[in-house]
Amino acid sequence: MTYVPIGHDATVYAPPAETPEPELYHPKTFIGKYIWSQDAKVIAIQYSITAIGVGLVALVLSWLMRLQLGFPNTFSFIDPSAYLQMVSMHGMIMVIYLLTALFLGGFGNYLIPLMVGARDMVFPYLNMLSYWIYLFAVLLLLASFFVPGGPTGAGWTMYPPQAILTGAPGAGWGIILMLVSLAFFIVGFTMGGLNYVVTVLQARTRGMTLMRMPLTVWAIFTATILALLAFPALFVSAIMMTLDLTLGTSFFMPGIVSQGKQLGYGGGSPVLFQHLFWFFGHPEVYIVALPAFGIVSDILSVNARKNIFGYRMMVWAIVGIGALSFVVWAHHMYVSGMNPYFGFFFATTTLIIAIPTALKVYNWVLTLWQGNIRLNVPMLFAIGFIFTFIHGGLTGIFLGNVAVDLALSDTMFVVAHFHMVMAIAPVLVVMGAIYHWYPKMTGRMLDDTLGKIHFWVTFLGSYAIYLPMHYLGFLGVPRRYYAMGDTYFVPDSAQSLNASITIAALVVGVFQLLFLYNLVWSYFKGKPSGDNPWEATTLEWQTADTPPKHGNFGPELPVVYRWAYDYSVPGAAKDFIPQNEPPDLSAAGAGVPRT
Amino acid sequence: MLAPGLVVWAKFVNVPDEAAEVEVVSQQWHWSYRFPGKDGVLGTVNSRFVDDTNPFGMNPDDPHGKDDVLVASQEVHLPIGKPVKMLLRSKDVLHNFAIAEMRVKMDMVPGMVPYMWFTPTRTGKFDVLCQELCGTGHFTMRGRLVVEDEGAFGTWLAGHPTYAQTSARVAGDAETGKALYAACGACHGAAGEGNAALHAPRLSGQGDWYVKQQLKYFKQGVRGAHKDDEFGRTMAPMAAILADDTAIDNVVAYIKSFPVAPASAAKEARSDRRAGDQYARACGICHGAKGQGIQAMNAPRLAGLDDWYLDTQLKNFKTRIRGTHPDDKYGSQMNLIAATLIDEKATRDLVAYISAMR
Repeated sequence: MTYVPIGHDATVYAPPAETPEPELYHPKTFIGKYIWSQDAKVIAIQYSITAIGVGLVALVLSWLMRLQLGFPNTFSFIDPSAYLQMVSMHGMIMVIYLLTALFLGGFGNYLIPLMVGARDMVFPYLNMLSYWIYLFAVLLLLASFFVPGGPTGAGWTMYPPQAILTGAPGAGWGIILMLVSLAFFIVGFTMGGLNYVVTVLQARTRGMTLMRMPLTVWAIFTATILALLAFPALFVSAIMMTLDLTLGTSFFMPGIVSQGKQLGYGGGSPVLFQHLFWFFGHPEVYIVALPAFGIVSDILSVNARKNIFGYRMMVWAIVGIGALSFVVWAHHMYVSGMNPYFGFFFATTTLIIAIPTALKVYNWVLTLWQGNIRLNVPMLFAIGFIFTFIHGGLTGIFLGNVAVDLALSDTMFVVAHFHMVMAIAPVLVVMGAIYHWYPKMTGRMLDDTLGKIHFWVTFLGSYAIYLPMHYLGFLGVPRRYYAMGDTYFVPDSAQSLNASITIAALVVGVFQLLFLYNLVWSYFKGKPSGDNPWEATTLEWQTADTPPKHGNFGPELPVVYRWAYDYSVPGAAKDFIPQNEPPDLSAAGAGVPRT
Repeated sequence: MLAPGLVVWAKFVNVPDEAAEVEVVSQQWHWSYRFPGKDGVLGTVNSRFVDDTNPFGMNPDDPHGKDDVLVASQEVHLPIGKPVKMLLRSKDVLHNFAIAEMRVKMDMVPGMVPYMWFTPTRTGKFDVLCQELCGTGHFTMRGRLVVEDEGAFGTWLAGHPTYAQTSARVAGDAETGKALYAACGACHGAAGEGNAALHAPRLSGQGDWYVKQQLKYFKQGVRGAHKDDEFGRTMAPMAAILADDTAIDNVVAYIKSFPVAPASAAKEARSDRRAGDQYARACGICHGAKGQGIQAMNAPRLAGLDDWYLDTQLKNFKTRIRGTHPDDKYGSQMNLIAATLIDEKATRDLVAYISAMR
């Protein structure tokens, strides 16, 4: 028996091209290249800059909220209405306009065509339109800060009836702008989302079978399908609520006596809105989390110089989590007044999700096991993600279990849980991913020292912020409270905890500015990166130019012979074999190639 | 982990047969409670029936409702050791009835009646908090649960009127009240116009329900008993002159007959945009956009009150001289709101704005 010196899955199987390459649109002017651009990479950067910009607004809002909670009644401009408006806008911006847009519009656009070996998205014009509609939605949302009454203060969940009745801030203009902006966001997203799905299904290069795709592509692909199925529920509820507000329909409005006045509504159900909202809202968690799962898998594999452990299992876990995410939505509604018998079903489905999720965590850890780990900045962020994600996952088991949730829901514990699992964990991945792919986007490395400082402050700082918050939740401190005042059950020391959380949040927030500085400084002064600084196997690192030109690859599209994880293959000359490197057929025992 | 959780949940979902029923009624930003009375059955209700004279929305034609005990207060008492099923009803928006120390909570949804149950096992006072964001005043929506032995609970319950009693209550007699008012008029003025020198606020135009409530507070020592409440302490003995509820009803009926007059010192209307903004965002939601007062929100009329009175009261609320007595039903809300006036200037600007209202 002779040793076979080729990597996992490597065969020469690469079917002949079925269709000729379509002609790309070639822009002539600066505006065509960089403004009204149809190049997925430029659109990706437009998406990312817009998302990060609006995310900074949400970051500042979170500082203001924390200032009020940490040092109540110290700042005259934070009144109870303003506080609720900050809470609402912070949540909505972070979840939808930052994370969803950045993962799918930003990373999806940049990485899908490059990683599957396509010249561009399948529908470049639609892709461009998608970005501009997104930008319009962002502007509409920001406009609500300047209308009479200000933005909505009904929480990012916008529950009716309060969202559209006087008594909640921004119940007129604010909520209308929010709903219309969401509708536009969804229209824009659908254009982009269809693009990602069709590109992955139809535009893969020769030899790139589905089971050879990097997990990043699998994850973004699945997340996009989730989004295409989930967002319509939000879309219709936004329209129905707008009609309730403007035309006096009663979709979500029962008979109501508000502030002593009988309103003309009757017969609607507020709980209906919650079902629609969370039918969107729970998959939304995975729309943000799945791309993070995929990206982190790739970063870990590259920097552990090992193949990802259990690739097929990882793919099916992603698909399984995606499917399950549609049957757990009412775990957000255990105490919503819906029939409490639903609790049995939804607690069961919710805890079942722990199985594929835990599987992924085990596989990440096993990927690291005995790896030749390069502890660079993207790797630090990826490992940090594993910690925070496990943390948030474990508290999720508390909350998913309906009997425990009874005491904990609507407290600070929930805030701590979802920030660990849905804010900190994915944001660590976003940052890791930016450190990882920035060299490809610009041709320069981000500064290493600044990156390490940024990582440690962010990682340790998030524990300083959220660990005490879990404790406040156990005490029973409710969320969305402007001030606690005097109670029988919250000790005075809770206030000093709140102050320390605020200080930690401000410090972590300020260090994000260091990251922004690094992004700008390195663009001009960073160390040149070369084509493949991380010695990675996937196609985006094998392009002829860095950053890749319009059309991504040179005159010939790459042909793929192997999966994305040929690291440290025994007998190979280097410790990584790019996906487009043909197997060495001269070696003894290489078997008969399939054609 | 799942299985024991579901067993516990099954216990929570299935209410024991012996559990007594109590209804919680919520609105922005108050709690009130209804007990079934002697027949043990709660009468039917409908939001169509809700108005200032029937805040619980009782169906006047339902015989079961006549003996229902109506507790129009943030505070509810329950007997120890008895399981109780709380029926949760909301008049306006989503609220959430949560007692952190009992580890229970459930949303209150207009148009439906969710439930939950628990057994109080320890006597004492417990906070009832709203834990579903319900608008600007969300954080002020607080009640109190007092768990006590059966006897004390019976006494407490007997002190509250039934629906039949509240609907049969007759209006006070203004003629009789006129004589009683002589003592009041010495300070508050013959037509209730108020007197700055004696720090006696304007009474004309004020909602009768509010004057009545405050007179009872003064009489019971809920208001005007704090040692630092300089002007309140002069009022307390005056309220004690009124012998009983009928006397209070009568004098209030007379006060109600005063013409609504403008404030004593005519001021030009201020157009302080910042203070106006602040009023609209924090005060106007309960007290009305023009300061007219809204009975349904338990918010008194502010228009026509003089700046010196508003200033004193806001400071009393802020420094917790007023509103902290355990029997003061709604004072704690003003404690929390007045605390947002961070300095002297903020208070002064707001007072100037309100005192210009007509």
